[in-house]
Amino acid sequence: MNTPDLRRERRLLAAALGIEVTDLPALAGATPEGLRAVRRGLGEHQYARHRRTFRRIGKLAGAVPTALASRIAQAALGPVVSARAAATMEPDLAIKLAASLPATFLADLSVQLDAERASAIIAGLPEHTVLEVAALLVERGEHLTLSRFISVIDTSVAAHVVEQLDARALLEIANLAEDGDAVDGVLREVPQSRADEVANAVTDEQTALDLLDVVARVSAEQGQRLLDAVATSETATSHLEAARTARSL
Amino acid sequence: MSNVTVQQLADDLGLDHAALDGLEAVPATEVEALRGLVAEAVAAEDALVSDSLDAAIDALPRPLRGRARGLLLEHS
Repeated sequence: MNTPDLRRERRLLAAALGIEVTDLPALAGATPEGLRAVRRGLGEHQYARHRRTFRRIGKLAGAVPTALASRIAQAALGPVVSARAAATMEPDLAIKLAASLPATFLADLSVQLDAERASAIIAGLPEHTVLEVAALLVERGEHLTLSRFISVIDTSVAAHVVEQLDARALLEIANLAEDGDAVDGVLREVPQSRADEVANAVTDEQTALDLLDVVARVSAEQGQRLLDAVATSETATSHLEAARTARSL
Repeated sequence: MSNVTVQQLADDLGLDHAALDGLEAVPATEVEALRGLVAEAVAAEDALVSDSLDAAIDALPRPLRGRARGLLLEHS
């Protein structure tokens, strides 16, 4: 059965494997939990294989001048290894290093960063840095990356990021995020005008299906707010009805 | 768990067999394809880490390279 959880987990697993979701085998009969276990197992396995090296890189970064560490991260290590090493560092050192790196490199690094492992670092970054990096990720259409940060950045900061998103991107990110409660928390911060924009973005059946998926994973209160906004638009309402019919078939 | 390929995938990832119970119903050929993709992802990251370390050492001032190489590559 093609549930929202299953669609989300297929997208996340494909990303972890470094492939397009269309290149992932059908895996018929897999549960979302099964796919999640593979994805998380792969992440842990890859990290564990080089854990000692990543820690040593982190140690070395603390032993050389910040400017040199910053240059090596950008010119030699690259965003993947820098992201893995950053997650092993003391948050204070990683935050100091982040201040010496350009936002473009931090955005590259964010795509590779394990948001949960690096949550203490992210929490310590200045708000302007988070917003600058998020703006770049929005511009690049890195919706999957943005979805991973919803649960580790402050809700009010996330709400600022949401202001930069078009309504379709907002729906996609809300569906990709693993943490439904965090999505709900961000929606609470979103003004009614944004909810109305989301409703206006429901101009086809696919967007209506995306909206139904979001409604299904947030609180009844936030779900109803979105549905009420849709009800003010005849076009959106008709697409939503079509989507409901399609889903019940 | 009775699906042998799922058990092999769990072994590849260092997981308990029960962790992948959610793949029990997946046809063995598809689990095998998934194992191949997992192996490719692991190999790609291994190569990337190795190349990045070499590049990082080369980027250091020459007098520091020997010590850095010892620190970064020993038993890694």
